[in-house]
Amino acid sequence: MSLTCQVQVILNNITEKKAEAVKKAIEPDNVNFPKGLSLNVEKIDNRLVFNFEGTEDMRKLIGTIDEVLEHVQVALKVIE
Amino acid sequence: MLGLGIESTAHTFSCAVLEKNGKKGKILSDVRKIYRPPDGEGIHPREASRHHIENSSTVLSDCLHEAGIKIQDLDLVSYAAGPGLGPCLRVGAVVARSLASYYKIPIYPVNHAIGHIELGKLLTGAQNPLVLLVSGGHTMLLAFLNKQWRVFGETLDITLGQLLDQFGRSIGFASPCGKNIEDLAATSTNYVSLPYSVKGNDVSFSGLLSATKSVSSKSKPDACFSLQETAFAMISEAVERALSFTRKKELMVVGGVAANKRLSEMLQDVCKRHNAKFFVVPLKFAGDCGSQICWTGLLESQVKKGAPLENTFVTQSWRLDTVKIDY
Repeated sequence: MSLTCQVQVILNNITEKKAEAVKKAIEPDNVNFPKGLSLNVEKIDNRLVFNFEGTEDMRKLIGTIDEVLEHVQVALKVIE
Repeated sequence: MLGLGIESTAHTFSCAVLEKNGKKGKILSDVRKIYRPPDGEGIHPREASRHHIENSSTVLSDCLHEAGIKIQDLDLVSYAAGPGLGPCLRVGAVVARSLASYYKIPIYPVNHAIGHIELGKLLTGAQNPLVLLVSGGHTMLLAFLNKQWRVFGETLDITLGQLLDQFGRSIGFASPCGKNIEDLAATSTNYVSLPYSVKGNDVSFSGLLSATKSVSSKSKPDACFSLQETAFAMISEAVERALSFTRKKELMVVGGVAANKRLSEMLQDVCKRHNAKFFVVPLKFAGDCGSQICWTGLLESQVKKGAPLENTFVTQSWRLDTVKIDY
């Protein structure tokens, strides 16, 4: 039996300009993901929605969520 | 023209602001925070990237404050896009992309190794040197020909910086260990014979590392002294052959190991024999720093526009001999 896990993280209450900047800062690294792992980033008005999906190895999924959220934090800090 | 450079390839997170007027460059600020692993341990990429994440905004604001400018004053932002450790590279890239996107500043991905060379040329005034790049990530002998740096010789296994760090950690030093080894080596003059491996224009250090570890159980100072003498003699032989072959009249040493005085001493002797000028990058800018990245970005901006954000990747194994240099 294979285990698939989906995690959605929503970043609210940021300006549309900041949401766009963060999305553009994160997206170029969203390549060459290990097999069974994916990330989709959507900007909806002034919200950023991160959709993570992992199959089998949950440590990889958790590690990816951890790193992406750290990058979001860095991006917001340097443009505040 | 004002540029911001961001370095984050390994231990160091650094931001620098440089001003470029024609061919002249002036460093207005260069701020660094360096990740120090526990004594006896090497760099852990994810731990180093966490260090960079925690320090990035402070380093950036200190750098801008020291230069006396605001982000809006910048004409470009450049970042080290490789080679380096993936998690570390991504932190610098995220900072650069965030600024470029939010403030609409042109962005330039820069090769870290080229950064060492270009800042070295700016600070030493070398015109057309044979370059010895010696650091934790590189051991290369390079000559510029037809818009590219060509590799004349390099390490076949570990780099000179890795040799010193791995040996230093084995006797309990914290990385980077070069200074500790140099200081301990200065207390001995007893040379113990060690493997000497130069193959054509290339060098190999892995056998030397294993042999030095076994010597260190008898005397750490003798081991440090003998390690330096052997490794630097190997480098000197390769440099001597390269000077003879390329007929270059300048040698420039860059990279973190350029700070070692014994290495400089031996290479100066080589240069005297070949009637070549000897240049070494100033100690403060020998290790990784934002100035290297900033100056290279400023040079690139002379001949090309900033990169589209969607193409601003990081490349862990980006060799400098694949980079076309048009400026």
